[in-house]
Amino acid sequence: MKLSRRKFLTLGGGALILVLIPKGIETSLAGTAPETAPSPIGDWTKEWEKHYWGFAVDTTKCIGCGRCVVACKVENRLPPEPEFTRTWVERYVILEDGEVLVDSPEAGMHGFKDEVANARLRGREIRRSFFVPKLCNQCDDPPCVQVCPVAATHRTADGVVLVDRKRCIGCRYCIQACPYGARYLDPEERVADKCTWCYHRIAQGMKPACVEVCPVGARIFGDFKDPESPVRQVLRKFSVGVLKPDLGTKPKVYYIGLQSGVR
Amino acid sequence: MTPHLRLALILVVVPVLVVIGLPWALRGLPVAASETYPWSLVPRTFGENGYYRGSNVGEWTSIAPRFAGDVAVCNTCHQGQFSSWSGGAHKVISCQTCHGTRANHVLGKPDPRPASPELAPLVAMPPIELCSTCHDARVVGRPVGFPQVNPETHAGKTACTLCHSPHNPQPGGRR
Ligand code: HEC
Ligand code: HEC
Ligand code: HEC
Ligand code: HEC
Repeated sequence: MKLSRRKFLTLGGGALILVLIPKGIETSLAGTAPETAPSPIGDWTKEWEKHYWGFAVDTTKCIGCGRCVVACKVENRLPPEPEFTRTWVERYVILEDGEVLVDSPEAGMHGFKDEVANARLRGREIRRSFFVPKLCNQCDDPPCVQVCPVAATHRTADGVVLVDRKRCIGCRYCIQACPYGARYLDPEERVADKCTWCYHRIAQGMKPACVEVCPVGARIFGDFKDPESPVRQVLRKFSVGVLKPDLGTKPKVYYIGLQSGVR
Repeated sequence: MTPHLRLALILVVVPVLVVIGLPWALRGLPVAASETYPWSLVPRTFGENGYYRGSNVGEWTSIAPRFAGDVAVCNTCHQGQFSSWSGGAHKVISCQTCHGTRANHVLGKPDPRPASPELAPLVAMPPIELCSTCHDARVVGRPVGFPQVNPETHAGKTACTLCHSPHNPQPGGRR
């Protein structure tokens, strides 16, 4: 083999340039990178192992005022339209003949005041009726995380399922996969969106916005790793149920007084 | 060495140099610069905590809350309302359920206005509508025992707040 000095230098120099150009780009990028706003709580991933969040809903207390739905929209900067919501309230009316009527006008955000609907219901023989607030169950075995083709939706160590809005490609697969209908497509950014249990608030020791504004204590939030937390007390005092347990998704929203037939 | 052998050699050596040399040259550089490495589409923080982009967690936790965390702070500046509230049946309701977001207010700054009238706080409503949000007996589905009235027969067109203080709603309760 005969490699002339000239060829050797050309080849070697080329290779060196190939190595150094990205290094130059890199250094200049590092110089101009914008300062990211400091999070008030620092690096949460250093803390999160100490927590494991849980949620409980008391269907015997909810009055269907809908303030949780409004507060969620305000706190999380959601669009005002009721169809783009992270939480909603359903009304179950069980008639004496066994028929079950379910409604959720405008996701319940303006309450259940519509007198036409109420008058029609009062004309029937009602056995029992109650409200069921719904939100993301932050499943321990979440189908939405499994189906995401770009790993944009993931579970944190403290048990909350989040959507990476920068990675999401808006394919809607997760929206289809969620058996609870908890997800929707953000109409502005075209990415999947859903309840985070107000992750920014709970990481700062605050309650989720819907829990803060609930006037009757129907929404209960807490840390499973804290024996005194409200969710631990709920599980100690009441018999609770979860939605669609047969699907094996291991949901973490526990319902007090869950009537069979609520899905 | 025949020309096509030499070409083959170049085609092997150059990619190997790129694949091994580039990461070697870039090792130890600050990771904060951009979301991805120049030669790859995979985010740098991918895999830090699991099979996802690690820096996404910080993006969620750095959102600024709009509702204040604890209404006990309201007592430092509004002792009057706070003490009548804590003595009445409405003490189970957060001040922010009626008054809306107050995270900035407690720091002496204005809170953002609601993005749409539909998202306005309860106090923006006329009194009868405000109180009826929770106390309208015509709504089917409320738990038995929750105090309710039919606004039309109970008060007619009189504002509920004339007889009931919103902070301490027992008739005659301290305002
Ligand atoms: C640092 C003192 C301070 C704290 C803490 C504070 N406020 Fe105020 N608040 C004021 C002052 C001063 C005013 C009157 C000036 C104005 O109207 O903005 C006021 C006015 C109000 C008003 C009437 C005007 C309006 O904006 O509707 C309400 C309602 C109110 N505060 C609610 C609250 C609630 C609820 C909290 C607790 C989350 C709270 N405040 C905490 C100082 C405070
Ligand atoms: C049930 C809803 C409700 C709750 C809960 C509530 N407020 Fe009010 N608040 C009102 C209404 C309605 C007014 C308007 C005053 C009126 O018409 O009498 C008001 C007025 C005020 C004002 C203005 C001064 C005044 O009295 O007119 C302040 C300050 C205030 N509230 C503070 C608070 C604080 C602090 C809390 C929590 C401790 C609280 N409010 C809880 C409904 C509420
Ligand atoms: C966000 C929901 C909500 C709003 C709005 C609201 N209340 Fe209440 N109210 C409650 C709750 C919860 C209770 C406590 C019920 C209980 O003790 O079981 C209550 C209790 C009462 C009681 C006491 C009943 C009793 O038996 O002692 C009266 C009176 C009352 N409210 C009147 C009003 C009036 C007047 C307004 C409008 C200014 C109003 N409420 C607005 C939720 C609300
Ligand atoms: C003219 C004065 C007056 C007005 C206006 C008025 N109330 Fe009352 N309200 C009373 C009195 C007095 C009672 C206590 C006696 C009773 O239970 O009827 C009462 C009781 C209540 C109770 C408790 C009922 C229970 O079962 O414990 C609620 C809830 C209530 N009012 C809500 C309202 C609402 C909502 C409005 C506005 C639509 C309103 N009130 C307007 C005088 C008034």
